[in-house]
Amino acid sequence: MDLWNPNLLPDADAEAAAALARLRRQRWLLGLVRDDVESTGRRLAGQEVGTGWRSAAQRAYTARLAELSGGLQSAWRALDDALYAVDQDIERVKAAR
Amino acid sequence: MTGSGNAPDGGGGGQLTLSGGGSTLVATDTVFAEMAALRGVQHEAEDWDQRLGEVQALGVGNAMAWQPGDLGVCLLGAQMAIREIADETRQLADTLAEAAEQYGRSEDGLDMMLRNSAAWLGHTAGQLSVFAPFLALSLAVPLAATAGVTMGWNTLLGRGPSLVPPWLADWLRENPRLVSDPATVRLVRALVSSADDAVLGRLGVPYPLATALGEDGAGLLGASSSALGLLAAARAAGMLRETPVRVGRVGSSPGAAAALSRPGVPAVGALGRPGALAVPLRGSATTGAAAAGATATGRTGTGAEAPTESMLAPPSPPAGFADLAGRIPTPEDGGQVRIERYGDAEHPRWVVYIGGTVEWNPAGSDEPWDMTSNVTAVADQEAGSYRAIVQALQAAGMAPGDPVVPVAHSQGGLLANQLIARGDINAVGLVTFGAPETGLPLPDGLPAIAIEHDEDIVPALGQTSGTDSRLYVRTELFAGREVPVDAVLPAHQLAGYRETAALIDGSPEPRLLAFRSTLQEIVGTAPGEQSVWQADRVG
Repeated sequence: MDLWNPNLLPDADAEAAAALARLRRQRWLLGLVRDDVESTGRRLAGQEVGTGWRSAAQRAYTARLAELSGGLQSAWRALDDALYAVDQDIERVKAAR
Repeated sequence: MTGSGNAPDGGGGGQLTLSGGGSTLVATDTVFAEMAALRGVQHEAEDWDQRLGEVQALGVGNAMAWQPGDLGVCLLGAQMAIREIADETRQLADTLAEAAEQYGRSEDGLDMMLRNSAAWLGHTAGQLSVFAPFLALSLAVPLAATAGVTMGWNTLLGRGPSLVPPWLADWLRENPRLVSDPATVRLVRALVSSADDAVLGRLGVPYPLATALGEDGAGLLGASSSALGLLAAARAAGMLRETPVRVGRVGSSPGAAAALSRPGVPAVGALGRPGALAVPLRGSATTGAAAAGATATGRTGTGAEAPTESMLAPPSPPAGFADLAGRIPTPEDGGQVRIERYGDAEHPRWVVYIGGTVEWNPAGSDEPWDMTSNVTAVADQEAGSYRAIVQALQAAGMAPGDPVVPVAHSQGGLLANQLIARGDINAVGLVTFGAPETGLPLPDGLPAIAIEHDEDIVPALGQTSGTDSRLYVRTELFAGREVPVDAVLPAHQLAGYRETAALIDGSPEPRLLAFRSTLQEIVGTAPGEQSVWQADRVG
C-alpha cells in the first residue's frame, strides 16, 4: 500500500464518516427504544389493580405484573449498555480519524 | 350475552360488568382495562423488537468476535428481554381473556338452563292450566308484571289500589330486597322468556314444537307477540287504547327557536300547523299531530292554554355518561323529551334525551309515557310516546340524515331502539339506562351502550337476543347498602342510574373511553341549543 497515495485519505475519511453515520443511526434508534421501554415501565409500575378483585387472583396477578416490570428493567439496562457500547464505538471511530 | 352479576374476579359494590358488544367475553371493566393495557404492552414490545432488528441490520460485527460489553452482546440481551416481555404480556392477556370467556360461557349456560327450565315449566303449567290467571296476567304480559308490582308497592305506600293480596303485601314490606334482588331479576328474565311456551302449552302445542316456534327457537313468538295479544284483549275491553298526541315546547335556550326556520326543513311552528314531515314517519304519527294542531311554541290546537315557555341556558356539550344521564328529562323538567343541537346550521348534530314511564296506572290518563305506550312499544306498534318524540324532533328542526345520539331511560330506551330500527333517525350512538331489553336490530358498527342495574327488573321484561351488538354495562346498585323502601322499583329509578353513569365516567375500560371520545367528536366543544318538549294525549 502506498501510504502517500493522495486517493487513500479521502477513502479512509469516507469510510469513517459512513461508520459514524451508521453508529449515530444505531444510537438514535436505540435511544428511542430505551425511552419507550422506560415510559412503559413507569406506566406499568404506576398501574393499580382493581380493588374489587378477589385477593388470591389479585396477588397472583400483581406478582406477574411485578415480574413484567422486572423484565422491562432488564431490557432497559441492556439497552442502556448498548447505547454505551455505541458511544464507545463512536469515540473510537472519531479518535481514529 | 345476557349475563349479570359479578365477574370472576369481581365483587360488586362499584364494579362494572361488561358483556356483549359483539364479543363473548364477560368481565369487569377493570379486567377489560387490564387486558387492553397488556395487549398494548405486547404490541409495543413486538414493535421494539422490530426496531432493534433494524439496529442489528445496520451492523454489529462478527458474533464470533464479540466481547462482553460489545454492542452485539448488549443488543442480543435487550432483544431477549423484550421478546420475553412480549410473550409474558400475551400469556397474561390470554389468561384474562380465557377467564372472561369462561365466565361468559357459564353465564350463558346458567341463563340457558334457567330459560329451558322455565320454558318446560311454563309449557307444562300452560297444558295443565295451572296458575292460568297468573300466567295470563304476569307471564304473557311482561310489563303487566311491573304494573302489578308497582301498584302493589303503591298500595303499601297508601297511594293506590292493590293488585296483590294482603299477605303478599306484608311479605313484600318485610322483604324489600325481593323485588330488587339480582336473583329475582334473573328468574323474571327466564319467566318472561317462557311466556310464549306457557301460551303454546295452553293451546296444546307439543313442547318440542313450542320450543322451536318460541323466543329461543324461530322467534316467531315472544315478548312482542305476547304484548300484541294483550293489547288486542285489553283494547277489546276498552283499556290500553292509543290516542293522538300533541306536543309543545315548554323550554328553550336562545337560538333554539331559530332551528324551526332552518332552510329546507319545513317548520311546524312557523305556520301554526304541522308542515311536511322532516323526519320519516309511518303509521298514524302524522294524524296525531294534525288532530292536535301541534305547535312548536305552545299547545293551542285544542283550546288548551299555551304553557309558559321557560328560558334555558345554552347547554355545554355533554362530556360523558353522567352528563347524558343528568339531562334525561323528569317530570320536574316539565317535559318528556329534551333535544340539544350542536354544530353549525349546515351541519347540525343532535342529542335527544327521552324520559321513562311517568304514569304506571293501566287505566290511562293524558300522559303518553304510560302503560299503554309501554305495552304498545313492546308489541312493536307505534306508541303515543313514539309519535310524540318524532313530532318533537321534527318541530325542533331535525332533518332526515342528521346525526343523532338518543339517550334514554326505561320506556324511552325501547323507543330509542325503535327509532333506530325503523330508520326514523340516523343514529350515530345510543345510550340507554334501565331500558327493557329488545331484539330490535341496530345498524352495524353503531356504538350502543345499554346500562342496567343487576337489581332492576325492567330490563329483564324485554325480549333478549342472542345476536345483540349492544355493549351491556351492569352493576349492582345496592351492593353493601340497604335497599330503599320508599321508592317504586328503587333500582330502576333515574337517580340510581345517574350514580352509575358517574361510575362509568371513571372507568378505564377501553370501549367506554372510546364511546366518550366518539361523543366528544360528535358534539364538539362549543355550547349548543336546547329545547324541552311536553306531550299530552288528546282524544
